[in-house]
Amino acid sequence: MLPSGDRNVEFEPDSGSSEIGFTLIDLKSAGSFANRGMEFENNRRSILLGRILRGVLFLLCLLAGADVSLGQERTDEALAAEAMEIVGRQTAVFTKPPQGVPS
Amino acid sequence: MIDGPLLGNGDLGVTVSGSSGHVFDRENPHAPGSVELVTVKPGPDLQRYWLSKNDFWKTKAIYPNAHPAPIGYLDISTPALANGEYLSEQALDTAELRSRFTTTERMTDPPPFTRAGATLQIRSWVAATRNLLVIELSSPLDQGDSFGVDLKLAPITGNESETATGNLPGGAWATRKFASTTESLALEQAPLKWDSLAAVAMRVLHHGQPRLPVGGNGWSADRVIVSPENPVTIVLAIVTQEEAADPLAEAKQQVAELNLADLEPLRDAHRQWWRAFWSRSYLELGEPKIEQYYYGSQYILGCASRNPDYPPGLWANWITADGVAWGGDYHLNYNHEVPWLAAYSSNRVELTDPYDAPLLAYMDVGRANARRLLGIEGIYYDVGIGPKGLETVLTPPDVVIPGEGNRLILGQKSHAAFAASNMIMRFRHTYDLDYARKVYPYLSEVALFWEQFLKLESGRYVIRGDSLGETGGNNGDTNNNLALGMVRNLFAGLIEISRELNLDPDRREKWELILAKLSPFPLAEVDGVWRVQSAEAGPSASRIGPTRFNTRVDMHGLVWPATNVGLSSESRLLKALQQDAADWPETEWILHFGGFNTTFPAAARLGHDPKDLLAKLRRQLDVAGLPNLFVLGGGGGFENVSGVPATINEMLLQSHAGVIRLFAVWPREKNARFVRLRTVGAFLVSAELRDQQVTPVTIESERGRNCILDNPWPGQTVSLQRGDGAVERLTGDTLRFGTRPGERLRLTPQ
Repeated sequence: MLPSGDRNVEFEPDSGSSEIGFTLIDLKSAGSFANRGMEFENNRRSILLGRILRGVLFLLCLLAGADVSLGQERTDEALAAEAMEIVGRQTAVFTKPPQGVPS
Repeated sequence: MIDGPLLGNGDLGVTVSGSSGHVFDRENPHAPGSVELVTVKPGPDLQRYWLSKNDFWKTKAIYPNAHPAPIGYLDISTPALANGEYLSEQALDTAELRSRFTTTERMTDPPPFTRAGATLQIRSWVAATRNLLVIELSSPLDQGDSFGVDLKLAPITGNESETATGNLPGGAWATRKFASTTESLALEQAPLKWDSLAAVAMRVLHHGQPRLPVGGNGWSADRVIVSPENPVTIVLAIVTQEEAADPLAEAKQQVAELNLADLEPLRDAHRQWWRAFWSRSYLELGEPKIEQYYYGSQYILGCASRNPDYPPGLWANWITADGVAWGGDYHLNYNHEVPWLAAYSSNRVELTDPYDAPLLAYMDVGRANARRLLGIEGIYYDVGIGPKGLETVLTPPDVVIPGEGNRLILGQKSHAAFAASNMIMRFRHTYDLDYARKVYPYLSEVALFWEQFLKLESGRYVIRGDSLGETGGNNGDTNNNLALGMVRNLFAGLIEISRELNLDPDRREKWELILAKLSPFPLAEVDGVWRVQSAEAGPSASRIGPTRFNTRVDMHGLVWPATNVGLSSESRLLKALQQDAADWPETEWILHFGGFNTTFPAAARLGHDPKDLLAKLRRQLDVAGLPNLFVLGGGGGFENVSGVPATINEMLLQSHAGVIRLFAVWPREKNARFVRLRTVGAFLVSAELRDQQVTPVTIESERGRNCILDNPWPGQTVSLQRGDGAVERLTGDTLRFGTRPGERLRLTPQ
């Protein structure tokens, strides 16, 4: 079953999905598309097709330079993947050992 | 200040130091029979893992004997790494420390030697979901090198503690205990309030067949061989008396039951916890260094503050010595309050849960203080307090301070009111009524204190005999900014909370009268410019203008965390404060002893020039930023953890007095964006500034309160799309609209 209209990103990422970028962006009109998908919620093939079409639409939006950035409705999972991608860049590097750690 | 890598789960804290270098004699391999002197530089040959926990305290009340105490340490010694190359990474996303240490010379340390260029890898993490330290040692498969590694687990000794150690199958244990005794070795013959015991149990888990150390006498728990086919995982369980009646038995059992397969689900849970933590909010600024310290500060708070009864003290849960400055307790004249001040706006409110516990538990002492020292009701707090009602700042019986007895209050009556500012800030960001009920008794009793302490003179309420700074006596000021600000903030917040809870309507009239008639903040006109004056009369009245030193103390009461002044405040006061910040000397900004956590966010709230503020923030981080992402400060290592995030959040998103302002103090030409920052009114706001334009804004309403938004697109009509798809048109400089609980709204310019 597809999620409801305000949870419209179906690229359920695994732990490595942020590396391929899907989770960083969203479709401008994906909400209405997801609602259409609801009509076929018991049809697994239609759901799969819906996912593929949504992916195509997403790529078209991207190629057209559409606004696919912040402010769009995205799933919590997509937000988490984006957060992890950003935080993953913040690693603190020590090139020499700390000399004592007084309090 | 701790400068080592940091790990933690909000209770257990671990920091790591390296060797300090040493010199030793050895037989010269090139000239048998002769001895050569070998100098070992500071490096990776010794890694010391320091262990401490928020709930392990020495509880003798005479200052400074009541303090959080270190438990012990694990030394991982790898002789082959003498003069080796060092590289460690503190990864924030997975909350683990990744180290790669490489030998630089052929070492004859068994087994039977290690070549130059061999690499030992160590991955360490403190499990987010239980008090367990995991240290994984490995040697890369493609290199084929083996390392002899010596392990030593030891408790910290001394300071009237009792310690013990012993062996386990494949490991070791250690305990440290502070026990009540009448045979104290210390000068202050005072009993402990309660006994404390912490236990550590360590076990070594081998992934392959353990190899016996060359030259050894069989298996030894303190000498292991790490090779490509035998990575080694060390697990340490740390348990205190607060968690188990027999902490040592519990710790031993925990490690005895662990096997390598158990660690994978534990690792998954650990990573899931941190993933959820990071997804609460995030942002991008185009400022790499500031961003790193922004996220580093969030990480440190996540590592330090999750034990509901024991918040981190001045040095958090990275305690490496008994003699911590100011006892490492909960100091109430800013130190305990400020670390959490960015957690509300960062949408990590749950990290502030521990904050309140010691304040609520101290109310009996506070009542006694008010009654005995001032003859009034309500609660009157010492400058420092401990957990569970522990008094941390008592002086020996023969040391009596006028007006304060054998206590350290330092002339400041405002400690309890200051501490209330966090509670009010949390409430306004969440409108969580359960939380309000929890802290209401505290707020009510602080109010009772001030109802009786304030003097009504010539139609206005006056604060006499209270000090702006630490004076150590009772000769205070009249109407100093700190107390005026905290009292004003207290009553404004309490009136609001009591209305929401429908409590004490009969007292509210008095509170409103106090608020209406409380003396104004003192200002002095100097050369035609209105300047901040720290007090109306008394010692602090001579502190006028931006060079008065320690401007942060005034800011605490006026701007941050008491929220009396913001961009919609009365014009003369706001202008005076803006001019004050604009004229502060460099020493008020950069490397100030205790000001960073206050002056920067206060300046942001006042609308200080954003380019200048970012430039100063970069400078501060250049000179005060430590490799572990702490920002160096004087009054406690932990207090500056809010400095960067509070400043940045306030620059990007303000909600003072309930008016949401987007990018109000941010350079217009600088792209930035944020996701799910929290505002007053319990709204989660996501927005982006791109090419000098604010793109569509998302607001998630938790409580369904009315929203007031400074129009991000001045002069334009705004389309408001509601959660049910309905669209409304909004116009004007200030947009006002109702919301429903759980509703997600989207605003777009027309």
